[in-house]
Amino acid sequence: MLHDILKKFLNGLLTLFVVISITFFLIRLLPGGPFDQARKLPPAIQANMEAKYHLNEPLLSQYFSYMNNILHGDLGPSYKYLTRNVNDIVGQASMVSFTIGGLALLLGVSLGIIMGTFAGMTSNRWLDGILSAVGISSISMPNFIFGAFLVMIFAYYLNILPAARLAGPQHYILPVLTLSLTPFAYTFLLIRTTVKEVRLQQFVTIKRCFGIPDLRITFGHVLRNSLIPLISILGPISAAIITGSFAVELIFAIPGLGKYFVTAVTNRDYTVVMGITIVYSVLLILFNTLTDIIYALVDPRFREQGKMSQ
Amino acid sequence: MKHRPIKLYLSLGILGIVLLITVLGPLIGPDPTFINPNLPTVGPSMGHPFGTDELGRDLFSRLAVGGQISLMIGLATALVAVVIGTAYGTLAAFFEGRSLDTLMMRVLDVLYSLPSVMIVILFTLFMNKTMAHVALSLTHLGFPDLRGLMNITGLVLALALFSWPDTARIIRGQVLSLKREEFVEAYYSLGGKPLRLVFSHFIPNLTALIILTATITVPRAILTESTLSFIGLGVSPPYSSWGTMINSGWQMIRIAPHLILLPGFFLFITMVALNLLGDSLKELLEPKSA
Repeated sequence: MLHDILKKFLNGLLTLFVVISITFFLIRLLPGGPFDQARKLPPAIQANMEAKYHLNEPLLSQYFSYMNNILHGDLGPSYKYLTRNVNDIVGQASMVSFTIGGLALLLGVSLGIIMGTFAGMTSNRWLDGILSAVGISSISMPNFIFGAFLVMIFAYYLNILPAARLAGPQHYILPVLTLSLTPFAYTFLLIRTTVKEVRLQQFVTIKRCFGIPDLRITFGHVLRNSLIPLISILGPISAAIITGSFAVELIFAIPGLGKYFVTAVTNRDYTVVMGITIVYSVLLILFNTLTDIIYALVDPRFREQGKMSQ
Repeated sequence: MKHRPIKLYLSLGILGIVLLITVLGPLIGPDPTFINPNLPTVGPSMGHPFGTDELGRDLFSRLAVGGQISLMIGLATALVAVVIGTAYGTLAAFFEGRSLDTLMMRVLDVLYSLPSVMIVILFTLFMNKTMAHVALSLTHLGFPDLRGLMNITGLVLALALFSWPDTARIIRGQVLSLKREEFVEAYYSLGGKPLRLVFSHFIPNLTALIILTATITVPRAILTESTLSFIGLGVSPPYSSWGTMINSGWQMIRIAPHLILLPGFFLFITMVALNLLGDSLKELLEPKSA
């Protein structure tokens, strides 16, 4: 078990190293640099700026010094925000993005579990049809359309919620709702299918014969079995939230990681792009590794398999 | 089958209508590039059934042309992803248990853990640059200016980069089980060669699965493309997709909501239809899970 965890952890580090290297060279292969602007700088000043940030050195030596800095926890200076370094920018933007992403994850998954369980329980043809439509619609709806729709209704027509920026608690409602759409859809569809499958098993029939109420069987016994597969899609769900946050942060003018990333890519602000990519990669790798570990801990069958293979 | 595949009919019906509009639209509607400064952001009317955009261009024709781009990107991405994924998956399965297979699977693991949007964004920009060079050298050879088309090709390749691992994994699993079938033993004992086994026996056996994975890949590619186009880093002028139209509609949302609602609606129903199609094909292939 410990051996497996260690192996997963090392694999994660390797992946991170690959991501950092790919991003480092990919962004430097793009046309233009951080100091190429519409209004051209005098060549001497541009050369000075590039020398200040060591951008005139050979690519490989830049790469090694960057890697060295990362090992010391330093993501470097930003080329555009001259008073702030990347650690500072990424730290602040992470707080914003993680708050909204975390809330959306919580909301989407809990709603998905509750509605998915009811959808799996129902034997009413009409209700099942309606809930199927809800499932397929929520998985098919691009979240920026959903977000634009929410803004139109709640901010412009009903005028009860703010349309953009994060000035107070009520400003979080629309972005979190928008971002929770995809986690909701994934969870809902998975729980619905697994609840349906588990309910066909013998132990459920036996419990029903003993006269235990349907709701108690479902929430007490069926759901517990259905939650295990949910762990396995936490990785894809968090990846979907990251993807979704790009559009959501644009719609609601939220200064999060996605917004900074898009600006930094356009500005060729190399270090900011790298910093944000690293943060999100670490998050994803952590999620995937944790998923594997939790899965092994929760599911006894999986644990037995692990023992046998050792 | 007792119960009729309603999902399949519904999805094919929606897809048929969308295809009809996107293919025939530019032929029957007004010129989508014609700018009419007298009629900016007009709502639906007789001359313009879907109204006009901020430059007075006919929205119906623009939706049709934009839809062609979105659908084409989805299909092309699925095609590239399926070809690469099938080849990769089959190769890995043939080297099952050996270090090449382990290495190939490790590469997939790495691709799964990458924050794909960010790499796709960077890779798209990189491909744009490369493809612009290709287009430029083609113009020297006497070809017309293909830069716009090359930009879309770059986007497709970037999207395919993150679409093929799923196919590869599924195909590998299937080939692993095919390898254990009796007919394979018979084939080898008759003196058959592995390459021919793949092309004349495995690929036909995999067809249904390949079609299924392609069907699942199309909506994902369209979703990623539209998200990228919406944040301004996807399809770029002179071409436009539903995603770029939704982006410009978003900027006009208070003045002319139809500019975002109509492309949004088309994108949404296309996604619904494609997801339904994938679901119903899956049910047809694995009747147990239905």
